[in-house]
Amino acid sequence: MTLEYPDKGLVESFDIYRKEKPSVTLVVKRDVTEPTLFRNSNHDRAETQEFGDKLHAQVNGEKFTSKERLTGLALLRGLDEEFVHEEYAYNEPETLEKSLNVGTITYGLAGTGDQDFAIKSRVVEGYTYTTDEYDLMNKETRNAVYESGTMRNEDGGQSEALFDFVKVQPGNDLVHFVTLEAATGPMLLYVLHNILNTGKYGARETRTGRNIRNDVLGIILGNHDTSLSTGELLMEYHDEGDDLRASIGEYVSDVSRTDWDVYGDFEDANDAPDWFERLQAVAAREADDADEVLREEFESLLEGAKSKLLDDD
Amino acid sequence: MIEQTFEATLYAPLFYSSSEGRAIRTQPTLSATALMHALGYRYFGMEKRYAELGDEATSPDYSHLADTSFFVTDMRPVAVQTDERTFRSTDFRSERHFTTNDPDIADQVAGTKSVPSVLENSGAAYQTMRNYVGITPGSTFEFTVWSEDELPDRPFFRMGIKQTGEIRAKTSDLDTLVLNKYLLSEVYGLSDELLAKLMERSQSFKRGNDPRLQHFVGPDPGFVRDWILPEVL
Repeated sequence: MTLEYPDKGLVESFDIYRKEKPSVTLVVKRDVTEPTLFRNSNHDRAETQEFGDKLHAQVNGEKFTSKERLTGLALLRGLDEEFVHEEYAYNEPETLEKSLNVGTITYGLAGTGDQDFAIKSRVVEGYTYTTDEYDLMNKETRNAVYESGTMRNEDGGQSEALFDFVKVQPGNDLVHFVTLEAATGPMLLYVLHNILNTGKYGARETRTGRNIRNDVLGIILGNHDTSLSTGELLMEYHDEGDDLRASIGEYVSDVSRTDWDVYGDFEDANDAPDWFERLQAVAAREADDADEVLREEFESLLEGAKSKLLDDD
Repeated sequence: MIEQTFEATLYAPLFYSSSEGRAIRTQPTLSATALMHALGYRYFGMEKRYAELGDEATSPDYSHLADTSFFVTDMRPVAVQTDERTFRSTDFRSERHFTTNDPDIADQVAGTKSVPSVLENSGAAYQTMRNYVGITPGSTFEFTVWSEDELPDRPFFRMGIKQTGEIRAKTSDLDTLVLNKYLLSEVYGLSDELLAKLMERSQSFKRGNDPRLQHFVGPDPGFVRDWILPEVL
């Protein structure tokens, strides 16, 4: 029933101070399955970045992290009412005691309310970019409807509320390297759960439904920081028409350090070991005992964190 | 003592508070204090504190840098673009973000239009917005590291607010050293006399509006090796 974690890449228990930073990087492919709006400085389109002579949509990693954090929070509240303080609300921290949960110790939190405290995030999700071109000319213009469901009001007048967006179109992918540094096994389980169970990202997601499908292509473990960069992958190792998995394989094997263990579904990677298959099954809540295991793992992580962070006062 | 010079390429937007206030601007020279932490965490076993309480959480402390086994220059811009702009965020320590689609508000945040005199009484948007001006991917920098243990030929590290700046470096020949005055005087406690000599041996001294933004540009490498390094390492 219990989980097995790898010897490399993780720390054994929650601690405030770390000299060593073993890291785990998840290679996540985010498939765009519905037109998705990632707006940043512009109201109607994504930020862009030029690689060579092609324009790619650029997406801030927090646009993914914040949605994934909420998925995690919902899981915690659903598993056990003891996991999240009843007065805690996402982004509204009061005191450390009320804000302490598996989500905040994993993704970090700054207390700007009644008490000053800072918990650094152990999860690093960098900027990411669409693998294919982002077409700025592909503007969708929409017309707001009246209560009647048409664009005419009761006097027959035309609706004047127009809006237009440039969305990232299906078929485009975003490769994202999600790194956990000095994380415990349960933190990896939690982050993996949140990635595998979040499907709605970007603006207007509450009305457009599931628009992204996340697929974990691989996992990289190292005694040191295993950070990788989507920008580097796309600028240096991937050209139009190239096979994405081949490019990822080439990139990872070129920059990998001797202490890395690379598992996954791309070139030069080893097949995923049993512990990772099991971890994914529990994280995706496909295993029969998933809830039980999740509850048990999070309980031990939270107890460890409380004893380090609250008893010292 | 090993001396290595690198050319670094940025692969994601980097935001860095060279000056703070309603607008956060990133100056093209990246500070040695940030580079010390980036390399220290990744390659030199520097201790990281994942939780801080009370004053520790709000005031910076660089004293631990003096105990490290390596020393770095500032990152000198070689080819840098700073036209990246993002309007967002409230307090940069919090997770709360704000995106505006109102060009007027954007102009006010960017400082190109006047802002209400009493910001705190002027409605939700004004008191919380900040403008981040960052550095664009593809920008390149030069820096030099002195250490007991050699760095790999192609080190990778992260810098900046929320660690968004992803940087890969490759070894290169030394062109121009840029040393950070704050690091030398406040962290390593170098005497005013030695700093004055260093200024005489430098091509120029660049001032900024924050103590951490004072740079010795182009000091004589021989003088740095013989006089500065023995003091800091």
